[in-house]
Amino acid sequence: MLALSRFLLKSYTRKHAYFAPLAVTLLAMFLLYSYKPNPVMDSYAVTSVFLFVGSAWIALTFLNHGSPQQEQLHIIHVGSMKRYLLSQMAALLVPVALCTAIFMLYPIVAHMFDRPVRIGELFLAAGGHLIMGMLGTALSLYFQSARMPNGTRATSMLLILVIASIGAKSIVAGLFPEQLQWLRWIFPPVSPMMDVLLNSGEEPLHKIWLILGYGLAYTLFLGLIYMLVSVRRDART
Amino acid sequence: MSLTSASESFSDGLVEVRNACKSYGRRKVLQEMSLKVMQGECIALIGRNGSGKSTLLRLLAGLARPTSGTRKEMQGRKLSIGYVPERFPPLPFTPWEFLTSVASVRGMDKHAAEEELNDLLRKLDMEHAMHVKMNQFSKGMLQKINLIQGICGKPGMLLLDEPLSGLDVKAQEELLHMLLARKQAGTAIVMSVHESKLIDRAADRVLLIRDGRIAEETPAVRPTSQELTRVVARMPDSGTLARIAAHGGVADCTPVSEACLLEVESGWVDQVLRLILDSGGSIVSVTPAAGMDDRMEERLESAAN
Repeated sequence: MLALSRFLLKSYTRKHAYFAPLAVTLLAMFLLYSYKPNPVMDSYAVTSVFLFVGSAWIALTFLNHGSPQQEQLHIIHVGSMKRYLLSQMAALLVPVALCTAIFMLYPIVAHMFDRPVRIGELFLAAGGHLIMGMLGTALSLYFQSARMPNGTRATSMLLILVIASIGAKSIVAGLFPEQLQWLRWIFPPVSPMMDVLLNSGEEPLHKIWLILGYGLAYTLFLGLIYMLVSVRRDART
Repeated sequence: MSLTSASESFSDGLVEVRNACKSYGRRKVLQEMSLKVMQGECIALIGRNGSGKSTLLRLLAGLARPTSGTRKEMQGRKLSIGYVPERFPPLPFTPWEFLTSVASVRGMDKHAAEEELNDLLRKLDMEHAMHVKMNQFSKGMLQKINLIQGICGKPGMLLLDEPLSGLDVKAQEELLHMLLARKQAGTAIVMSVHESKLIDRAADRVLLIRDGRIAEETPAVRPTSQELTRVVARMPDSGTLARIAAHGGVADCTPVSEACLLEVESGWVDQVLRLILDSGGSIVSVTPAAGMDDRMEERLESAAN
């Protein structure tokens, strides 16, 4: 499976489909750090949201970059649809990890912060970035051409979901009565994760990790449901 | 020929589809299809475009699931499958990069895989292009890489969708030899074909597919010694070509790229070959053939009725 993940990543990078999403994501980061000094956790909270959006876009271009015949051959070579899907998902972790490393290290190396980063903050920020990145990736799984052949519609729906995830707190607070405020927990938990990272100085540590854990559980749930509904699908034709 | 007896020595079932139907929306592509593929046998699927041949191949490969009915692998362990789709994507890789990746994904031993790939590339005359990006390849070159990815690793079942499409005469002959060798070694082959050359020399069963059903099943008929032999040769000049075309026993002479294809009555083959060589020409291949395309026409005619 790892051999197929490697091949898929090579195929993706050679088609240069990653360029636009990666460039825009990095551009957003450079704009954020266009002046200094910057507060540590506030900046990491914002870049983790950039990573959520960027990884959703990268994942969509990754999942759609191969032709139906290429997909058919991969499934045959690796032995089953299940193994193919797992290879794809494993490959998608690589750009998330790379972007996390860039977003974590760039402000430190370029001395963009107002003070040195504490080790605990580093772990929190790394966890936040990885989970946000994986969450963006997990959402894209449902909008790839194998599930939604109409590319324009798929991209629009993903974009709406991404925006709704980021603004879930304000959307639910503004549109729904008090009794329905729990609805914000149905949305992908970008807004609560961003909140706890922004307020990490005031919030107890266990609460921060609990919210991040919820984000991880939500991501794994999305991945599991995707596997269950996709493992029995036909290869694209 | 010993090929039939070789295939008869294998009797294990590999894959069975039973009462399989496949629909895309309201369109029924396969209907009540039942087929059992045995080890070492070669099944040819013939029929008009859109009759359901490619869908049946995808069903056998496990790439598509039947809407109703079943597909079952019969050996208890995972069957290794080679699949050659009708169209091969022009990937941004060289053949060597792509094929070694395929071998790695299939879990083949690196050294053995490289040896096998080198052999296949040489046989299909692709050694010169093994380090050239495939997005610069012609249709025929892509088809050769398509065939190699399907054949490598000695799969238990080989599914071929129009395998001769785009291949030159020499490559067609080489492919035929490779398939016959794999068949003798026990590989089951199911192929969708429009050319009767493969059917007549490799197939054990011919299934005529019409409207998503098996309309007719016939055992393949192999050419007899009384029939025509197909000779591919290169001639030194047009004068020699004209002389040989007019020679006794030469039923047909068709120029094919740099060579020419002769259909020679079996009793005249030795004389014609000697004449070509004595005139400074060279022989590319000699294969038994006998009005095969006429027989294919007949089969397709019956499919249309």
